[in-house]
Amino acid sequence: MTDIETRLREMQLQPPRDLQARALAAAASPRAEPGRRILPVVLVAILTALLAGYGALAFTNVPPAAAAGTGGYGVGEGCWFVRDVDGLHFHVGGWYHGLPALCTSERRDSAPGR
Amino acid sequence: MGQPLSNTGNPFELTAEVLCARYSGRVYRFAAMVSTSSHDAEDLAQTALERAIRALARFDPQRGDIEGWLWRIVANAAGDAHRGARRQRLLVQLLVRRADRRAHQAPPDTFDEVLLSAVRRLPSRQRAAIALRYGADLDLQTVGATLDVSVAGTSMLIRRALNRLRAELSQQEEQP
Repeated sequence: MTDIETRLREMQLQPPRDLQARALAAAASPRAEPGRRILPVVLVAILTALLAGYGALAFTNVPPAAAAGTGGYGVGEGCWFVRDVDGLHFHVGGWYHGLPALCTSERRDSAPGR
Repeated sequence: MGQPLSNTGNPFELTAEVLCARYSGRVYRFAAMVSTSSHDAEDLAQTALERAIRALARFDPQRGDIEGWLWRIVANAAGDAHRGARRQRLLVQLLVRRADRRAHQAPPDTFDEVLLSAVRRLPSRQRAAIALRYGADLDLQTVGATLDVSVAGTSMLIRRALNRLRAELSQQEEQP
């Protein structure tokens, strides 16, 4: 058998005739990096979907009008952030005067506040 | 053309055309050895040359020679292509059975095809070293610099790859 190194050097591997032209044309065209362009779009789409779902949940969890109008909220009721005996934590909340109710520790018998 | 295709700092004005004319053959030989098919090799050679042309304006002869600069770009392009191909292969395996794919691959018939097929089955590091040494026709020092390996390490890597190739080819010769 002929020495393997010689065979490797003499291996017939001809490039396609249009390789140079293709490389030159590709380099002259604007850079297209689909991965990098798609990534922000995907991130924005995910964030939008999360916000939409979150908003839908919030609207379906609006506290009864009687609760806001008369005696205030119970602990965690209608609030986005709740502080109770377990500490501060997130809770799908509702709306207070058209704004998210970012209350933390209101009780039903106290006036709603921030 | 909307971008610079030559490095004005270079005394012999290495243009994109000169770069392609001078190196496309060796870049393709390297690509053919590290890729799994001729189609992939063409894609890799084109991508590597394209990257080199785009980077040509930034090439500084004061910081190193053109060979070291070029083959680093080519090797990086090969690494990216290899990672992309692996992801693609995993996806294909989910859709198509391996046995079906093997049935459609024609066995190599000439010695060059047998040898190329054996090179393509080498572990990726050994394959890259062989492709740089015998495909791109680089010396041990440049191969080592491209792969971030010492000259002694490169020599050992190539020796192991050659031994593996010899063993595989003699095994195939013994088979009827």
